[in-house]
Amino acid sequence: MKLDKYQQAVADCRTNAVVSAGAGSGKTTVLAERFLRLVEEGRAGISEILTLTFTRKAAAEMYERIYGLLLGNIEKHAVAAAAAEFDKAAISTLDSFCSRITRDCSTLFGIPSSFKTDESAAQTLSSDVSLDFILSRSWDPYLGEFIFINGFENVWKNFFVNMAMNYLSLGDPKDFNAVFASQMETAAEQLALGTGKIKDLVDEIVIMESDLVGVKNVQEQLRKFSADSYDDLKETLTVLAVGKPRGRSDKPEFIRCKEIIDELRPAVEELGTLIDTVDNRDLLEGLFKLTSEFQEELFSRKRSAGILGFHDVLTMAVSGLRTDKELRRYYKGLFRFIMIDEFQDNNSLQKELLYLLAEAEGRESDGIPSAAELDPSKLFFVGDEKQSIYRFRGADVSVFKQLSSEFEASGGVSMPLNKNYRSEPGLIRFFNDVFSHVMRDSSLEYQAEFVPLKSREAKLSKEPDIRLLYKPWDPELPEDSLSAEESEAYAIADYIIDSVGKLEVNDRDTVRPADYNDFAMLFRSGTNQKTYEKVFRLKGIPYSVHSVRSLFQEAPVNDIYNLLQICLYPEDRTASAAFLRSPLVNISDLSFVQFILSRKPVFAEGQEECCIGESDRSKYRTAISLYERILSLIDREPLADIIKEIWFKSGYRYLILSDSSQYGYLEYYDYLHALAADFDGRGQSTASFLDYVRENLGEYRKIDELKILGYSSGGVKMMPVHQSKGLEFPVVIIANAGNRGVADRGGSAPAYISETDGLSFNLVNNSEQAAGERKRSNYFYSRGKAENADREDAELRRLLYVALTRAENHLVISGCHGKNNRSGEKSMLNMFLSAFGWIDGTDPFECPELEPYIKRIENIVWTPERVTVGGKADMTEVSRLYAAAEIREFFLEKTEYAVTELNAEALGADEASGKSAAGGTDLPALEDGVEKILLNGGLEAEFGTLAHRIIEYTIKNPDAGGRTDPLPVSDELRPFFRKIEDPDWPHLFSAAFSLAEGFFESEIWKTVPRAVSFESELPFSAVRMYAGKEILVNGIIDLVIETDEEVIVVDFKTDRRIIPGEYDLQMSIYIDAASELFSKPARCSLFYLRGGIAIEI
Amino acid sequence: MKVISDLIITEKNTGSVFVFPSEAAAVQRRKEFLRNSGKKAVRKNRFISWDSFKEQITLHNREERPMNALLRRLFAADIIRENSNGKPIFSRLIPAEYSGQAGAFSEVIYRILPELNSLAGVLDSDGGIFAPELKTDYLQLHKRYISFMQTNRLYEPSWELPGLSRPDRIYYIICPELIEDYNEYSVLLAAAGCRTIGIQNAVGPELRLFENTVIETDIVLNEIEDLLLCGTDYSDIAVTCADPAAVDILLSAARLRGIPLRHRSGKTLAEYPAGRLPELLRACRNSNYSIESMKNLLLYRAFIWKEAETASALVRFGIENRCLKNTGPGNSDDIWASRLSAAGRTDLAGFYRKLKSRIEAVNRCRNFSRLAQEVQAFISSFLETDSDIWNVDCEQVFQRSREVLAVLRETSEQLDSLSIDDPLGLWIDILREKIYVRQQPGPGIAVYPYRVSALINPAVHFVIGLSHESSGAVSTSFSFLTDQQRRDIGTNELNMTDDFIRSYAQSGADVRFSCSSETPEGTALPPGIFIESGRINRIVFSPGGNTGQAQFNAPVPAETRWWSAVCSGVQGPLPVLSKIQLEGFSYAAATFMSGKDFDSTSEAFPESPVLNSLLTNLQDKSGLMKISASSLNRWSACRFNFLLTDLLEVYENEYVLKPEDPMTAGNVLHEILYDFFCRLKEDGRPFSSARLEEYRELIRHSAAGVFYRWENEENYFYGPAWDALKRRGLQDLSRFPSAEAEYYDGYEPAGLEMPLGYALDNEKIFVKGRVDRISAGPDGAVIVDYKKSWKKQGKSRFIQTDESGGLLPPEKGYQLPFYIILARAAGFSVAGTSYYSIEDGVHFPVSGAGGVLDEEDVENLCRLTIESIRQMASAVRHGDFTAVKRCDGCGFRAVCRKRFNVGRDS
Ligand code: SF4
Repeated sequence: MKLDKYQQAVADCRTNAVVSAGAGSGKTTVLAERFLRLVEEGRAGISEILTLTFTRKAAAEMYERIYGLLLGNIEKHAVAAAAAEFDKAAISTLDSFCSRITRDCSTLFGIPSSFKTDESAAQTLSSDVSLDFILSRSWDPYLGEFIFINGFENVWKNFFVNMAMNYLSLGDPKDFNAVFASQMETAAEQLALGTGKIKDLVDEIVIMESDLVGVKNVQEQLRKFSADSYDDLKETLTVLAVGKPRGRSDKPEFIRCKEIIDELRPAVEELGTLIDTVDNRDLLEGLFKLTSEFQEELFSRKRSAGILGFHDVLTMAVSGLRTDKELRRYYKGLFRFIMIDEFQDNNSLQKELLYLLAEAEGRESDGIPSAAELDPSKLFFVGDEKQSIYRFRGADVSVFKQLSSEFEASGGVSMPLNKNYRSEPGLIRFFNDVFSHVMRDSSLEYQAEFVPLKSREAKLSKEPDIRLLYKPWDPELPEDSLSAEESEAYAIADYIIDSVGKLEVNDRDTVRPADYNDFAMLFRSGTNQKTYEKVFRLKGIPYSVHSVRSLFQEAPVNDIYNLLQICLYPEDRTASAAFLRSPLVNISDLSFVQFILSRKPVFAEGQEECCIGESDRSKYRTAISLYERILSLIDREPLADIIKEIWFKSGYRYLILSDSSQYGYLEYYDYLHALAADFDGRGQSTASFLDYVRENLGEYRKIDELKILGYSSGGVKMMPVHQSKGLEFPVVIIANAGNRGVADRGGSAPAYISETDGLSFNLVNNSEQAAGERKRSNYFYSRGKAENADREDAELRRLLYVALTRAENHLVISGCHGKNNRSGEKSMLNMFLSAFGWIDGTDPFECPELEPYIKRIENIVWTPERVTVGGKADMTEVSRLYAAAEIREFFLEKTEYAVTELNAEALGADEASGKSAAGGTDLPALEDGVEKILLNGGLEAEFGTLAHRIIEYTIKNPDAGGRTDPLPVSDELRPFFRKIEDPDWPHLFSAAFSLAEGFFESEIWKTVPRAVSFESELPFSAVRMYAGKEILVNGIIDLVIETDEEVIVVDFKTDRRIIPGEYDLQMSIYIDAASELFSKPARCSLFYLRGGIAIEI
Repeated sequence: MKVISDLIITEKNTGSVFVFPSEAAAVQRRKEFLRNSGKKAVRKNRFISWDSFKEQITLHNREERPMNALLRRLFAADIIRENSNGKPIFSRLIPAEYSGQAGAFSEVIYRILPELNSLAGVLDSDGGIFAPELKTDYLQLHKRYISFMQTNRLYEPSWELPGLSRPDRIYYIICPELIEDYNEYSVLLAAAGCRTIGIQNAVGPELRLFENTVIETDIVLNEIEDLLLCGTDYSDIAVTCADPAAVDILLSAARLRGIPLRHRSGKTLAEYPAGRLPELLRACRNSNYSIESMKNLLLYRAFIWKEAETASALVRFGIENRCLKNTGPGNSDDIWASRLSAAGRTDLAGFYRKLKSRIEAVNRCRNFSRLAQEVQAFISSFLETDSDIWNVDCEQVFQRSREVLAVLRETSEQLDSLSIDDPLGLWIDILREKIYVRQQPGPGIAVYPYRVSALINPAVHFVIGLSHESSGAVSTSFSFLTDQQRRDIGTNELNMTDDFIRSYAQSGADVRFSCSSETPEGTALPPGIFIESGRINRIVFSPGGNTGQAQFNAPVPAETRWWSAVCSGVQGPLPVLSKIQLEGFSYAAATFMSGKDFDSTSEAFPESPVLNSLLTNLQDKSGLMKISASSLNRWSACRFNFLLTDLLEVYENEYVLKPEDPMTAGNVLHEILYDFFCRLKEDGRPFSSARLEEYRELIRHSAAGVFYRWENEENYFYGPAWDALKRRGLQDLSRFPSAEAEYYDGYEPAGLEMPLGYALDNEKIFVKGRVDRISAGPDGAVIVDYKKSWKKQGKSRFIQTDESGGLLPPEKGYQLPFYIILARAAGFSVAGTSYYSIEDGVHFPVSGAGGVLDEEDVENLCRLTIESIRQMASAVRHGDFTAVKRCDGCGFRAVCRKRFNVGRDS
């Protein structure tokens, strides 16, 4: 791709730079180009450029892009050399790069370099430590108070576990004493300031000259106020809750008095909060101390377990680089250039890490270097503050915002890339209009600054279709109206159906009519996704979802759960009832009632009697087969395989397959399977899996971690805005824009963390408040909460930006107003409306600026006829076809055998054909005790091997005196026979030893000349024909004696009987193999150790 | 590689030996020899792996025994223990301040040992690379390790280069580039006349790049099916799966299609369910017998429990009685024991006691003999040992893990001066490391992990999941050092990545490389060697399209497509199915496809003995149908729910334990108010607003008594949660006297928790209920129902009418009118009703003084209630338990199935 002049300038930049790359401005291309230029100009070797991305996917894309670019320029010498060693390129995610540094310094923190980074294990550990900590501190009055205020579970999970996962980290231990001290100092200062301010205001009123009664009344009340001492202040603060002067007047003192009272209210409120805070000093101190102790406990448990979360790894890397100057020197020296993509989604810790790595050569500051202390050309940040939407993962947009000023002040540059190559010019104009309003207040550090985008040439022949589908609130809708969201979903569905084939979209540089694949529906959160899915199904619109949400509400998960549940908890009556009525059994309710009334587990003995009628009996028996199969697999085979077994063996799929309107649910199996595989991966039991599923049953919930691979089903893509980052679509529909997001938790968070004040605790007990007792608010908690809300608001503005700018050609925003979302800017819809001059409480249809876009969403009344799509199969015909189906099965014939296995198989075949060698001669038994041990312990085979090994040892070590002194032989062989228990060993060994002795006394051994060579345990492979085909056999010959003329094969047996012909095949294989291997004639002796009998074959 | 194939056939000397980098290659080449050489037999040891070669021909000439992984682990654990005892040995290797929490460092020590001698050599002249303290630590470790070995007559084989034992044979080392430690031996082997055959340079096949692993494996299985159908012998096909995360996808897809694959690789013993016993025993102890750990142990089906029913009964008890975990290790904090004893469950208490003491004993052991004994004792006490009833796989893994313990015991007994703090932990570590290959009966196509199958030579070799990451084969010495230390001492990296890919390109007559962009582990890239040479073939399936070969052939997608066509009325030939698909269809045909004879959610029960026996549950001794306010409410909300709850007594049980629950909290508070009014009743005087302070005191007394009772007889919450409940309860109830005074000053308690009931006319109905409180006042009686929390409700919530003015079932249910009817029948003249919200400390009168309903409303409601009772009785008698048409769902949504979309008739 040819770069434009701005892109060129960025790629060629030779100083530290921060590039603000607007949506669609080609930043990845520019980054790759810059990489190429650095290499091409010989400014850096391939391993000297560190390229960092936010996600693994982005890293892979970057790797491929850069590699491809280098290969495309391979004619240049420097590039060719670089491409040749591209495996040394340092392109990775920031997380994995941190991990590399942390492995080199983890010891500093008491963590071995073999640590595991495992968020899920860290979560479990945090939960355990938190609960243990709470229980071990039951006596602590402050903890008791905190739990009293916030509730046990809230304190456990939302305070301790949350702190452990997101705030406390080994690399950055917090000094909570200092936080407490600083908060108290601030409180004192604010108290003084606040008191002064209030005093001034009060004084201003008190000294007012006025003859107005209203004012006089106010003065009289306020005169009671005294701030002479802290106690006076506390006591008289309530008098400030004074109403405005009664009556009407134009007199200036009257007006001023009202103004002052308006000013006084928040000031008094704040002062009250400060007083509460100071009064609760002991409690706060206790809580900070407790948190400190918890931190210690947590760190100690993390050290012992060697388990870290991502946050630990990052803080340890930063802290390691900061404190270990040698480590810093090393990593500084490794890279000449560092490029970071999507930096707006990082925070100050990541910035510190990069500043440490980019510190100027020769400098070694004690803390984090300032921008002026950096190498002047090492850092290259790319990002877009308007697209910072990962606050919930710790991103802090203000860090990216500050970079520009820091760099500019220290010789670096800040460069914009504002030309958008993605969207049609008409859309760009629209974005510029909207966001110059939505992002107007960029003076706040966490509010993104909007700079208008420049556009490319138009590709479409018409202007983009931009529309707002809007449904106003109507409190008087007919009873059976569909919900506003359902009506909205129908409106969107109709829009899509109308647009397919008509709306023009561009495909690279050509134009074609839109198809379903061109549409993307983006949600702020998927709370109402299922409504849209339902309507799309009914309307026959193909769609694919990024994540399912009604997984736990639908039949597949519930039915599979209930089967597993009764396997583990057969007494569970709800699960039993659900299982019996599920498709997996589907018995009639007459039988169902009998089962439940019997009060016995579904599959307890005799329960078949509960079935009424042959049809139910047959269903029940079918279900038993499945149940027993699953029962035999649970906790023995992976859960994922069990789910698969249920799904396929029970034919559950056919329930969905037989109705095409339900095909979307086929994926539910894939999700459940992936969930089970995740549990398998963590070594979790079925009981834990069931606990998890049970907790979620009936819930409408998104499971983030679940990822399924398969064939893309295409159609309209539904996804949360977060997942659309970095993607683009011809037609974007921002659906459910009226959604206000997760409801504010109304102060139920037990603590907040803020940039300015650090940790703050909630001290307000709602019950106390209800009791009319004075609430104990915490000034810092209130500030933390307010800050949090402001940052959320700013984030939502950016989310709207990301959502809108995904559109290449056309854009639809749809939303409804209801009872609770008609005011305030907490929804994308209201932000958008406000940008066009809409004012809370007015009718958007009256707003002239909205006129070109706004379309009304009509209310829809429920009618059964709405169900229009979805054909059903004719099951009779289908069953007939299945009965005659062709089945593909692969029966593989065995082509490789062990000799003994083949012998046994052949013998079995002979027996079956009546050719078996019958009869046989019993051999003498061993000592009673020994026989008993062999029998009880199932040690027959072990014993045989032991006798062989004794013979082998004795032959191999002729000088070791093995035949006369069994002790060394016993010591030598003991470790190989662990199945034999200690007390049994001497008996078995001695019995085996005497059997071996029998061999050495036998004729075979005695007649063999000593000078010939022996080989024991000779392993071989051979080919031979068996049952008409060539097979491979593997065997080990116990003993081979080679003389000049022949080889003698000896095979030892510990059998209890001699059965003629039993080993004929085995021996013939040995003879053939020995003859081939030694190129001599061979013969074979079977030596029965019990009885010392040799039989020549 | 043809060179290898030629060499093994043409080599004249039958004593010569071919050494391959892996056992798999050696075995495969031996077979190739037998197939192509015309020989009938061959000695196995002419085709051996590098590891066997080293074992066979190297000599250490040592009297001592060699160190092995297990001995190293024992040493590492021992030194960590010693380091933690007051005076740490190390200051930097393990920072002294953390010596007491350094258990996890034993892994690092263990990894250092094989290279410690070389490191000591480097340290001799390190030129300041290592900090002096660290150097001292390494040297100290070295010294101690040597001393340990000397004491125990051991030596470290990885520290010395051995001699060759049989230099007279001809050895061909095949592709030494693929052997990680070949360089250490190369000079020695060259001197001994060993010959090497290197990897040939040849242009390999292209790499097929698929969208994701599922598509990739489907394509590969299609091709395997085609090969088998064309008559290719299965042993001529091999699959190498470079991406370990793709193996399960491959195996599972193959199982579904009935293609037998044999995975030639194992997992660690601890990854097999039956290898987890020690972990589970540890988890019980470490979590103080948390309910989760007990569930995981006692319900684990990999083991066969002798008293399986008792085991699950104990779990149930724990859940029902809130045994979250013991709060401390001692018996005094043993929640399980105290709750079992309080409940008088001696059977379970005995089982629990024995279980705990056995688990404690296993965890407390300080040496392996003791541990082996205790584990044995645990097993014989609780698990079936008869191997016949065990699953074969589980039994084998279980035996293997016990064998590991036996080896540990034996080895540790042979060592002097060894003391292990935590033998159980060490056993677990070793189970997490020891690989076990599960026996797979019957023949199948071999599936190998990457690297081990290099140089095999099948007719068709699929090398799948071959990405940049999975193909990486880089080995580094001193991996335990930091990046910088390794660079400073000049360690070399051995990068065999491309060599392996080159060797695979020649590992088979037809090699098919593939990889996927999306794998179960995330995004993946093709290996650089393919990008560089441009040998990548991207295979893309259009979204939603059905033209892809994989979709066409793979039985499941093909079947899905067929159904989709059938549903839209187009019927082609049914695709070929796998056995499991047909089994599934037969199951479906025998169950849900054959319809349901009777569905009570949509039709009434027929007159039948079943209906009669159902109804007996609702009848009292004299045959009257019992109806209570709550059963009427349930029936009116959803008759099917009523059937389940009231007639079939199906309740939702809790299976996950919560530290607090609102129901218990509500019960406690109810009990306090009950006790308070009992005292008031005893006192004999009406409630008086003049005595509020006294009442508050009285409530405190009542509360103290109730709390005491709960603490001794019931399953109250854990410490802090219980304390919070007590405090909050007291705080909430302290508001009660004033609230009561506001409306019911001068009233006296007339009925507390009063069971009321009467037979309705002649209709064989007995209406009944228990009212929290009836207080008698000057104008009549008031009925008060306590709610933990209640918000103000408007009139319309209690009384609703339709457009024509007819009464509809009240949104807030029939409770209050029902109570009024009962109270009247008991002779009370009811003047008012109220809900009292304990949390808010406020009365919400519904009728009477301050109430939202007037007298007429009340009468209407009572009439409606009686009418509804009659309707209910009649419907119940007629077996009508149909499910409500629209609802927000309840705990029985999986039973009624009305809220599911799947399986519903559109
Ligand atoms: S989910 Fe609805 S229909 Fe089903 S039982 Fe519950 S209330 Fe009745």
